[in-house]
Amino acid sequence: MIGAGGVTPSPPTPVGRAAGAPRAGPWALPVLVVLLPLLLWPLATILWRGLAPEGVPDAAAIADVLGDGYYWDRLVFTTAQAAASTAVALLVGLPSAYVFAHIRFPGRAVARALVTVPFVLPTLVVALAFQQLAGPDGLLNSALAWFGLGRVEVVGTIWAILAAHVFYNVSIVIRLVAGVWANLDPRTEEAARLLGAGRWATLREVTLPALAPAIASAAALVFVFSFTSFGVVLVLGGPGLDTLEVVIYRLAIRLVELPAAAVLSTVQIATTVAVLGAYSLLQRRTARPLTQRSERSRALRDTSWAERGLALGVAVVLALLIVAPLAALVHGAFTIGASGGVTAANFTRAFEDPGRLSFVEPLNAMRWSVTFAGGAALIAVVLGTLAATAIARSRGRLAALADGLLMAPLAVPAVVLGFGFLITFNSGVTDLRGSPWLIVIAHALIAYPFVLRAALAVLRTLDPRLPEAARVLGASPLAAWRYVELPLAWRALLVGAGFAFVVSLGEFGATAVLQRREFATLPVAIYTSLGRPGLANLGQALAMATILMTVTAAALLLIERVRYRDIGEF
Amino acid sequence: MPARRPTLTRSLALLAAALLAALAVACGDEAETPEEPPEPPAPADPTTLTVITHDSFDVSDGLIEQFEQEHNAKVELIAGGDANEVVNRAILNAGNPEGDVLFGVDNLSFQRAVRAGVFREYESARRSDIPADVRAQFGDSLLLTPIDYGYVNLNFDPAAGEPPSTLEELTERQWRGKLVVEDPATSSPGLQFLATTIAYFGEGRWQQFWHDLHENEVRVELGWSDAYYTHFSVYGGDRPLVVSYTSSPAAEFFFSEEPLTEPPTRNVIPSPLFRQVEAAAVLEGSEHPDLAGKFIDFMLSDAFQAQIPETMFVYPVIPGLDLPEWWSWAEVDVETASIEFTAEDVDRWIREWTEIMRR
Repeated sequence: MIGAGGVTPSPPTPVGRAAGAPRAGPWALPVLVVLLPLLLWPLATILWRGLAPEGVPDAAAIADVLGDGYYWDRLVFTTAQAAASTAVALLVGLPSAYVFAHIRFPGRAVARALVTVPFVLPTLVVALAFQQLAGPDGLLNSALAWFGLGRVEVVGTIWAILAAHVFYNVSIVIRLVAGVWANLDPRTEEAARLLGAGRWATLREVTLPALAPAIASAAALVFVFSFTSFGVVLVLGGPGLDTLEVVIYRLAIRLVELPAAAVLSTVQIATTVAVLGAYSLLQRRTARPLTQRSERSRALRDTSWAERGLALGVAVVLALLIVAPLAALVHGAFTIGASGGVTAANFTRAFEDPGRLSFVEPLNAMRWSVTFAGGAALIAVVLGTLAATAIARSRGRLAALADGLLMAPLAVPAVVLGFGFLITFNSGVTDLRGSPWLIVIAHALIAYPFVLRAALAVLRTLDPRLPEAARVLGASPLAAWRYVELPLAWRALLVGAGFAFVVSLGEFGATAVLQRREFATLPVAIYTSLGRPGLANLGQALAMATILMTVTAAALLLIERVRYRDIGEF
Repeated sequence: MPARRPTLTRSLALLAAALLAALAVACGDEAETPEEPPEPPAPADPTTLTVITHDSFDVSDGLIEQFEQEHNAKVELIAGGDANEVVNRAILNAGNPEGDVLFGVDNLSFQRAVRAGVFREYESARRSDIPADVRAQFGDSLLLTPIDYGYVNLNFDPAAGEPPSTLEELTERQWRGKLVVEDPATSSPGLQFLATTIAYFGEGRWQQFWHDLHENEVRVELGWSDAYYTHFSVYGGDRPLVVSYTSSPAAEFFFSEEPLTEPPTRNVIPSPLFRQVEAAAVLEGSEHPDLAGKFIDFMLSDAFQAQIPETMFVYPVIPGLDLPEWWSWAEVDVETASIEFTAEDVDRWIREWTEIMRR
């Protein structure tokens, strides 16, 4: 029935498992085999080195750190701003998801690619864009002055951080939720309306519960991303607005403070895993089987006036929050150094070899960026699919904990994992220093949670009787997965693959530690330019950021074209 | 169902093929590049020399090629962060180094590395040409060979009127919220500026200065790029004073889009400045220590030293070379602050500074 446009209405029984249900073990095993040596081993090595410099855990030192009220303040602030960022991202993202899912408008695919572009942009470049818009001489203050109003200071306040977090993360909500929303079987809602439920009651009682797993998945990702936020908070925030990730970076980078950094990293990882584990538990309780239909099978109807109003509102908010900063960057790339005019000089200069060793040819950097992203996305899709299937098929608190743990790559401070890689893969057959594979592995580790969350959002809504029925009818476990779960998860896997690709394209923290000049990526080239004073360097960096944005949007449009029957459409 | 199988298979294959093709394009290209016509004067395979440098290391292509041909070597570079980070990398890989030469360790970070035993001695033939006071920054130890030096000071936006003339003035009302500095825990220039203030005010008194600066709404950024490009008013920020290098105005001049008559920023030198000396060292455990020594000789050669201002925007350690005219904007004659310290002092400075700024 799924995807085939079938008509089996599914009764809203809570998800439960019959005896002899498909097993999770065979799916979980390969994930463990990959994660143990590549993630847990380096992480454990570096944390142990910090927690127990002399071979035994230094209890006094650990107690010292845990007894310092400053760190607890940071943890509270970090959690609070992450929760607020998540709430704002949902507030902006859910109406946007509705518009993307249900209203057809020209340029919808391009708009959807555009809202995801922020993901790849280096934080410093984003900070520059925000400064141009909301800084002291920015557009916002010029506009206010024009209306005879006073200046506002956004940069340096919590509002700048929230705006930046929404800028980066709202596409997670839009993509994950719109994907499910577009394919909800409209007959359930229609039945509710027929039975007398009002518009709001239908939304509250029928639609939102059906979307709950997707919303929860998106919220979990936005939360972790905002929780471990680094660059944005630093540049746009100000005194008293440091996240725990920043505090850990300050400590670890001095190396003498590695013990404190290790304690705080453990706290950060534990907090994230606990929050996500609890979430996962809640989510599996509320998940209901639901019927999905292809978006195309929905009867085309005219957009109502209310919907047009909503679409307009969403367009205005997204234009201000996302398109405006992006436009500011492109504007900068074409105008810096032109004394009021327009120039392509920043682009041509980026491609000119000044005869220096530090020169990174942008096309070559782009090729490596795309190569790493392709490799990382491929691995992430395999890893994420296996993990999602395993979790969707298992029950109990252990599975919830595993779900939280599987998100750990996003919770591990980048600097700590980087050091872990350096001291783990440095001898004998595992001496991978200088190998481009290390970058692919690091990117895949950061990327697979996106595939996992996207896939889980739909696998959790699967009626468990379906794979069971397939098995009873004689299908092998693999065949049951292939004909029941895969078609359902296909669209979600595409969404996940798109994110995985984009996360890798924009990754800088781990890449900076593992890169070599021969395979420098575009973000590395951008930061290299920004490491020197001078308008020419700034213009060149913005030109390369513009190239990165264009390639990202193109790649997303391409990835979304990979269809599976009629449900490939997202 | 079976009728639909090919569709799924084809779609999966398409996705995999697209991603693999991306891999193949780059890898294939990589495999093609070494296919240059074999060069007759290179009988044996070149020895690969791996050099770990700070991120700002640069040199003209021609010079490196010259070195490679002369020594039948292939030079590979690892950009390993700033002075502090390259030392971290060396310590984390002690005895099993990532490369043969380390460049970028400075007089604020070398003691940790020396204690961890990551360097081996090397005496370059040109060592005696390096001024004694520069060598003294590393206790004249043969483990380290000074290559260049530089200063960090205040860069000023001339649009903001008259700059302050002393460090004390920075704590006055007039300069409230006007200065952006880098965090000494995470930034090399940030640490150098802290050292300058400690040399000027002295132990036991510098803390009050930073406390007052904190009260006067100094802004702290983790790195130089963040401070300079997002908060310095010349680039659209709201602060006309930024901690940067004395060579930054010269670099602004060099990297301007149009010909200028003077740089858009000014140096303000309110006190004697801490001098950062950057050194190179042969790594203990290097497989090619002789070639590594040759590379250090190369870094001290006139040709390499003379292009240091243009490629790395710092001062060469070998005196008396012909330097470009625009380099005069880099304040060549600066009074150097004198200060003595141990590795523990540096750690303590940062800890105390962090305590002050946390309040």
